[in-house]
Amino acid sequence: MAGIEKYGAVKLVTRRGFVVGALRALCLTLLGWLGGAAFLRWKCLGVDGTWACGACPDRAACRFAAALPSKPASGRRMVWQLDPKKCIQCGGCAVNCVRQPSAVKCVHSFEMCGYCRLCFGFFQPGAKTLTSAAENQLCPTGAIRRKFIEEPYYEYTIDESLCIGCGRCVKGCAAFGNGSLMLQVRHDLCLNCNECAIARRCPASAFSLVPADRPYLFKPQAGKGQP
Amino acid sequence: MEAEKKERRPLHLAAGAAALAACAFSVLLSILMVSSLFDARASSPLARPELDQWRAALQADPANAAARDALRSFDLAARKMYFGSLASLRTGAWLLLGAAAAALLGFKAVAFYRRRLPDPRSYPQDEDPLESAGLARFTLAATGLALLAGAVALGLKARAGAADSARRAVREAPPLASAPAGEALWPGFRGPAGSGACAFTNLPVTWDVKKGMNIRWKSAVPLPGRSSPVIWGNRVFLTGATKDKREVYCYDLAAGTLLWRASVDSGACRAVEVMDDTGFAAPTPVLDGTNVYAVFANGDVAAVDFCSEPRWTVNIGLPVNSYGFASSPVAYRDKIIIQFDNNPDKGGVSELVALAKASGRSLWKTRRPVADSWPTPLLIETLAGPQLVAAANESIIAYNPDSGAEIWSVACRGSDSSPSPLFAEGLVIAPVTHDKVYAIRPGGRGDVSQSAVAWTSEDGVSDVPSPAAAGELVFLLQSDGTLACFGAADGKKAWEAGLEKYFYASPVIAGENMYLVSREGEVLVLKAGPRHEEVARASLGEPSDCTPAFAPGCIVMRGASNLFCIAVK
Amino acid sequence: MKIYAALFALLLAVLSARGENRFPMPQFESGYAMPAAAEPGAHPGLFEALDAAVLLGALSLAAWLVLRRRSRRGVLLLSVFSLLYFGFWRRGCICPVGSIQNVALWLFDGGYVIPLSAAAFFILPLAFALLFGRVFCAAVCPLGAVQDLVVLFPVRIPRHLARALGFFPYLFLALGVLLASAGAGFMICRYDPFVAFFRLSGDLAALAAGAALLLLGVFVARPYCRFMCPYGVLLNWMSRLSKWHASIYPDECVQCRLCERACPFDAILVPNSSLVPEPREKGARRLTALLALLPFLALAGGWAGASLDAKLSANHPVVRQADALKGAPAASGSFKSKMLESFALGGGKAEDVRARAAAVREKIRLGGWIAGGFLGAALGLGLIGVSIRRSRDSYEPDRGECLSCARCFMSCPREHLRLRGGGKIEPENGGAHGG
Repeated sequence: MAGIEKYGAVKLVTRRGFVVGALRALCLTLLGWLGGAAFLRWKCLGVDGTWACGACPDRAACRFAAALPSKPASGRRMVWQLDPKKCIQCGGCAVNCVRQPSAVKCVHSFEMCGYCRLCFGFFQPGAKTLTSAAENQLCPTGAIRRKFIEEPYYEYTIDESLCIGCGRCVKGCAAFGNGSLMLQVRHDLCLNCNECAIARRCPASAFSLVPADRPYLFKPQAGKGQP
Repeated sequence: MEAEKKERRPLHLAAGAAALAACAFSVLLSILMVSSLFDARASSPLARPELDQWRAALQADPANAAARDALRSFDLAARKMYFGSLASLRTGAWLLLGAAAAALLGFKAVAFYRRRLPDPRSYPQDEDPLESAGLARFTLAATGLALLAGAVALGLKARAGAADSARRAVREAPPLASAPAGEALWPGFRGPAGSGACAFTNLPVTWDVKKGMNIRWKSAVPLPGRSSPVIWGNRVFLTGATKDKREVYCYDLAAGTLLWRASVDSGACRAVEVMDDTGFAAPTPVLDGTNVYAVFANGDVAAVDFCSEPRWTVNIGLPVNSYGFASSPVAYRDKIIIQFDNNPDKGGVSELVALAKASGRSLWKTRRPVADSWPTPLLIETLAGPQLVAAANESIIAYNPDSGAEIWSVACRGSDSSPSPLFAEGLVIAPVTHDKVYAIRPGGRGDVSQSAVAWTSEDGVSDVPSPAAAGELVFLLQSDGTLACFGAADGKKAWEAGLEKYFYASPVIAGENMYLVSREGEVLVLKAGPRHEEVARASLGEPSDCTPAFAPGCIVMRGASNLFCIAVK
Repeated sequence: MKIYAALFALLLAVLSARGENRFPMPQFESGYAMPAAAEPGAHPGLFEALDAAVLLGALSLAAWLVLRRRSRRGVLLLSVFSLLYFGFWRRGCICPVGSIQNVALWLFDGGYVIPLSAAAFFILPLAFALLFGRVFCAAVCPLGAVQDLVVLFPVRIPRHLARALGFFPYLFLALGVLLASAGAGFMICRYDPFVAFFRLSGDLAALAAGAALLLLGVFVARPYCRFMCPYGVLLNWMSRLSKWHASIYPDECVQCRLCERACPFDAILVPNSSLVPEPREKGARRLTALLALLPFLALAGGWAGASLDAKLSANHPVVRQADALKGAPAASGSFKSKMLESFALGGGKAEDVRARAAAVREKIRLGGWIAGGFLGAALGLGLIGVSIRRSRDSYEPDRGECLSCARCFMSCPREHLRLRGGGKIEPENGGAHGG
């Protein structure tokens, strides 16, 4: 068979070869369609930050060209984050992350903090003396630093290298304080797994994918000042 | 060929030896890492029961230096071990990777040196393709059918299990708890509306303190007091005092831990004489979500915020009365209003005092033409606006809580009047001790003794406990145990019963049940209905003069030395 | 009376600090400046585009190395690079095997938008397989690379056993796609044995399973690839349709038998044109029987799949919540009690949750029919495939099974001839069927 084709003779194709070729073309078309759809859907940002076609109210009249993005590329990547309003501080974040220590850490929103001398996130319930002694601290790794500012205010900062994301301080603060301590996934540590191991074991279903350019879900602030 | 082989042998051996060495090293390293992993788990900061034990010991005895030092050194050692083992795991992982790679390279070299030219003559006879196809069909079919059978079996089992649990679910539907709106569960004496009633229905009617049945927690109260517990969100507040010390306590509603105790002292340093039955902390504190406002027997009024910071402390004057100051403060908008009735014969002045919540500054004071009395004022919302009703021996007077001006008054002739008025069926119902029970329509102005009194009753006039109302019925309890039930609108007596116990605490109603706490600590639960019907009895195990407070699913009661939380367990 | 009580309670509730902080903002007098909460950002999206570009480059290079250059050493070096880049550097996530789930979720759930890198990781290896055969498996897949590197003393598994075990990737594909598309979780990611190695940390069970599989892989070449990889099923199909494919000989087969044992994965098919085939009628009867059996197998599989809907949907978060809301009380501190606590916090209605759970279960039941039917059909077609005899007169790799690893090239004397400069011999369409 080697020499014959060089001179423009008809190339012989068997029935089998034809079927195979047709299937191959079909598969290539399907893959191309998949890629095109992914790319085009990726480009459409729908209405004001909704990311999904299913949730987009303009879907019936969707014109990809008209919906060209104005957001930077990094905004399209989705990363994992937890919603502190749904979090019940069960302690799962410290245990379930594929990294040890966990990529979830406690974050302190200073604008919401009451700077109380008796901080319910720092002290064990019923602590007799208000010092940073080991028996008085709620944090099992001593990651919260307590600093005196002025009477009667104290500042509480989290040392992230020590925080394991267990949420005990968050629980105390949410139960008896302002709720200014909250757990958040830290994106300098998170590997952004395809399926977050903490997310699937969260009893409050508090994890979701958020745009990578707005990766933090801090709680909205309550009103400041006296009622 | 032979020479080449001989040349290769040392390399071959060297590679083999290196591979085996690297392999052994990897295995050893793996073992070390696994043990390090177990170390990290054992020293996990999340599970350290020893620390809890020592903390409990320190709670019991704060001066236990041995426990404290042991706790601190253990904590430090455990934290070091945890982070240390994590770091060692990290380095170990890299070392293991390197060792595994080295072992692999060594083994590859060995395989390289052991390679032989293929010799088809040595290949075993190829299997007969027909036979092998048949065998393949068989094996494939067997695997597939085994999986199918397994799936079918699981599916049938799941179906059976689902039907079962569906049946069980119908039988065991959980009881629905009625949840309150907001956190103001029981913010003052006799509850959110001052009538001693709430709508919660899933409260236990019986408990056993000794066996711990239906007792969620029992916590000691450091200083004694007759003030009743008040509840906001997940916190319970109490006051306690002795002649020299006055304290406010905050307990966790869920676990009963004493979260904090704050000492208050206005510095006015007034010594006061009280009767033992009243004590130094008889007024029940009032809550507004930010602070707890407490009044003590020596006239000290303090505002402490929810994390134990005292906000302000003032002294409104030394109370001059026979038994000791007991009227509880009331919160209204930005004010705290206190009924400060004193005996004029002994030089006291009776007035209604309004202090600013933010600073304790006096906003207005209204003189009252009455002698010493012990009721707590009642805040009501009428169509004409808010009114503050203060009952006393000589008259029941309603004031405008914004300005302190009198709105209406009804004259009466009682003495030692303690019960606080309540609002039911549009009427202010106020028993005046040793006089009558008055039911007043609050719409009038000036002296309405003739015009606005809907009904009166000389029966059932309580002397210490305040009445409670539920629906159309109002219940009046006397300290000797006589309980009378009246229709709130018309004053018709529905029934009366002698309970054969002494009561100082006011009755409280939850749903259909009424709880009456006797002085010796036995609690009677009756139906709050048109017939006398006892539901259950239970004992606190210690004397009690305090009125219970309700929260969803639990009742908080105070005894002489302990605070109890009673809930279905 | 009740109205006034309610009004009073409402008044108090409104006056109380609801919606406001419990402890108000402190007024600092010492000039203290409040620090802002830090927001360490994620890696920029540049890395995603880079990954797709490197993938494309590696696939192209692999295709060239296998088909044109025919170099085992090149394939080996490229696979080491892929292991280091896609495996250890990018921590093995996202990988094409897992991208099946992303695509499944995207196709069936309107609320999910697939990241472009996931789509690229799904499409590119399949497209290359359609054209060049399983070059992805040869040198680009990090899971394949790590197994390939530990193949030291390969042992031959009897063909029929390998066939039967080859059914399991279909099972994992069906289950993975079913559960991913219903939102019940990414099973393939969960049971990825090698990702713990790539991350250099993980659950002890996962590490042990990976180590065991690698140890097995020293003797049974590439066990995950051949008997577990769900993406391998798709690559298998694509590769069967491929235009060009790795061939053992560069120009023609001289039937010297030297390559017979050269494949550690036993993917080389021996010539059988000289053997006596079985009587045509017998074969035809068998084939007809199997074809007739096919729809029954599909139906049985579909029914079995649908009947497993309760078990399969048990891991879906909404179904888990609905189960937690059922009557039996939860032990304190248990997962169920935490779910109930969060449900109470969220203030949802139990009926809504139950309705959503029922919808999920219905979706999975339907998916179970499809998945089960697919598996039944796969079984039937597999049986048929074993029974069909295709005549061959040269040694060829099995187009579906061959991983294009280029190990067999050096066992062919024609290849040695080519390398020693015996003229540049153009391959004829890479050994396609025909003529």
